[in-house]
Amino acid sequence: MGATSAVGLVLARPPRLLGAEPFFMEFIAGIEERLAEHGRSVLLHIVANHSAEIAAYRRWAQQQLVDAVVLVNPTVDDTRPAILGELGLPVVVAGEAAAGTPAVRRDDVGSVRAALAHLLDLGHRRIARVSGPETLRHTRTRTAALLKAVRSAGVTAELVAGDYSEESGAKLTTVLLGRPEPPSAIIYDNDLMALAGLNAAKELGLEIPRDLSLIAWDDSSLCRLASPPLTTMSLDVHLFGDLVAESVLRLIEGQPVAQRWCATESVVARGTTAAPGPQHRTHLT
Amino acid sequence: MSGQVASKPHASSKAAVLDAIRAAGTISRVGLINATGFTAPTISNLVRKLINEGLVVETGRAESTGGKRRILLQLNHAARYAVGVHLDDGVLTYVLTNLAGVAVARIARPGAGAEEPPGVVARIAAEIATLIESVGVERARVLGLGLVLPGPSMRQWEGFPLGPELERATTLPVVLDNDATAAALGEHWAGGFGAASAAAALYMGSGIGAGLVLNGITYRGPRGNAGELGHICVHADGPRCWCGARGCVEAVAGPAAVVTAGRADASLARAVGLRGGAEQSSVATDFATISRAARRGEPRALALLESSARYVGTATRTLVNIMDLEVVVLTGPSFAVAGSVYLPVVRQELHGFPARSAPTVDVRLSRSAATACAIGAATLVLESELVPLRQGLRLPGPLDSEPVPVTEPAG
Repeated sequence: MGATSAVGLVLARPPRLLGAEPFFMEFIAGIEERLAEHGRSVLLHIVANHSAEIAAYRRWAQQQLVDAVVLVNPTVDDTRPAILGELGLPVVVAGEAAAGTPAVRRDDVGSVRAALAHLLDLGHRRIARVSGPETLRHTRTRTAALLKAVRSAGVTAELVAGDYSEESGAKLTTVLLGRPEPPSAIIYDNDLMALAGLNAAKELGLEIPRDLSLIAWDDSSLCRLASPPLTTMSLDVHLFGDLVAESVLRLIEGQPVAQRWCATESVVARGTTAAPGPQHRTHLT
Repeated sequence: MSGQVASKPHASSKAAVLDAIRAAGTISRVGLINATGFTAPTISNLVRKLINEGLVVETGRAESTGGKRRILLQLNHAARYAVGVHLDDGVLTYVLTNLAGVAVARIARPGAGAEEPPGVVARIAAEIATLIESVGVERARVLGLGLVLPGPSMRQWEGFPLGPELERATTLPVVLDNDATAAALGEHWAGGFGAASAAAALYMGSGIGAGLVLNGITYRGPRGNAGELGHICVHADGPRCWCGARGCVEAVAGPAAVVTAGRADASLARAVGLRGGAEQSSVATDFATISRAARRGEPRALALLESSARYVGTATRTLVNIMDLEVVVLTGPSFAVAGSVYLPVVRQELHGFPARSAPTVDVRLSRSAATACAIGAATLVLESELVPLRQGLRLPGPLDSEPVPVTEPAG
């Protein structure tokens, strides 16, 4: 009974990062709430690396510990769906997946366009982005969408890749702001890097948003509580989890599962975006 | 941090050294001498023992400070694990943490509800076995089981020998505590209180409580009733609380009161999607629904929570004034979902009185608010098995090479 009512989810990352990621806990809460109505639970396992993740799937399949798996952070050339297929574990991907694999997608292209449009409307022309790891599919999708959108707007964007940690957010922000022509606005791929970037910019003596605008992804309590509160992209993370759970339930019941989409994220303008300051405007003329 | 470790009444010098390494993250042998006040030969000897037992590893060298670069030590995180269980009416949450108190697995199962204790104990034992199996950890590396209860509200458990029954069913050493105290200990281990010598975790699940950590040690009071924040009176003529008194903050403004008010307001209930009648959800679910609506900007939901937050802030101010707290951390499932609404209001309530020259209190949101109790429960095991204190210690495990006095397990 207890052994056959769980849905597995593996997060591959240093365990120290978990508590620091409100995004995943809210996502899991969304899955959990819907599954609980059907007497099912989420088995969350945090591992340090890819091989430990695969080992967990093998163990779960062998001992029949889960009925399905939710796969997060799909990568370029992801081998995990095929391995789960061989193991006979049904999978729902949270993000982009090959045709035919059940997935719940986020509209990364539409969201990137919305974020950029917000900054362009405010008058920003030198824009930078601190992305997540480049091996992730949604990082590449956002990058491609951003490059295309800045080209058609006639501006340029500087891209640097972080790893979602606060350390990388702070370091890369400092690097970007130290350049001869620093950006007037930075987009971050998650909340933690944006928070650390905000603090790094303040430590450099910048006044936010007068001297620098910042937009965070993955709206969480941390964004609302920042000083000033961070402007973010508004994904309803709980609903994202809820959609994933619905797909999982259909899959377990043996019904066909189509790809589904979360609503396109829009900008929640809080206290970290404004028109570029005078130092950026003089550069433009 | 070092002062705290040196002043804590550890049961053995080895426990003191292990606690100093844990608290520091990474530390050199010289750093340990400063942190504990022990001599160089003692530190050298104890560190060798800890390395031989596999609890501590060497992890590279510190930045050079002129002389020879010092070798750094840290906990061997995968050396041991602990199970934490949070037993509640609605949900049973399980975590498996590593030696550093960081969760490596988590699962939530249907709660105890009205189920009889023996049945619940059997289920807990089976579900723990499955959790350990699913992570692939050897059972010999699991130090024990910490279990926390929501304080005195679950009456059918009164008189049931929960600790001994769980030890029999799981064959693991068992430590019991209340939810807020466990959450406070978990926060302390995770570094959430920083270097504060007086700190509290405000725990809000379906009720409200507070766990106190003074000089690095949880303070429970002689009968385990310290930190009953939920029963601080905020309104002398207020509604009667389940405890019998009037105007307790839990009765006036706790999650159950918020949900009752939300359900009673038909247009609010409709706007945020509360289900009524036979379909009615639990307090926890409806509180989360109202909170998410408030975060989306639904004005009546926001007003309801902000009103609750002012009362919680008032009660917190009382606690801060009595205990001279330096840090207050908001934690538990209700703050996990509504913390961004409560935190600014609580801060305002604590900082809004410039005329009184009280030193400022740092109010923060826990980074593991949603799973704080279960993680705290596992931390109870790590503390009692690895870095036991002179008072309240129990069941010395095979890790203790030095004999320590044994007290009878409670229950």
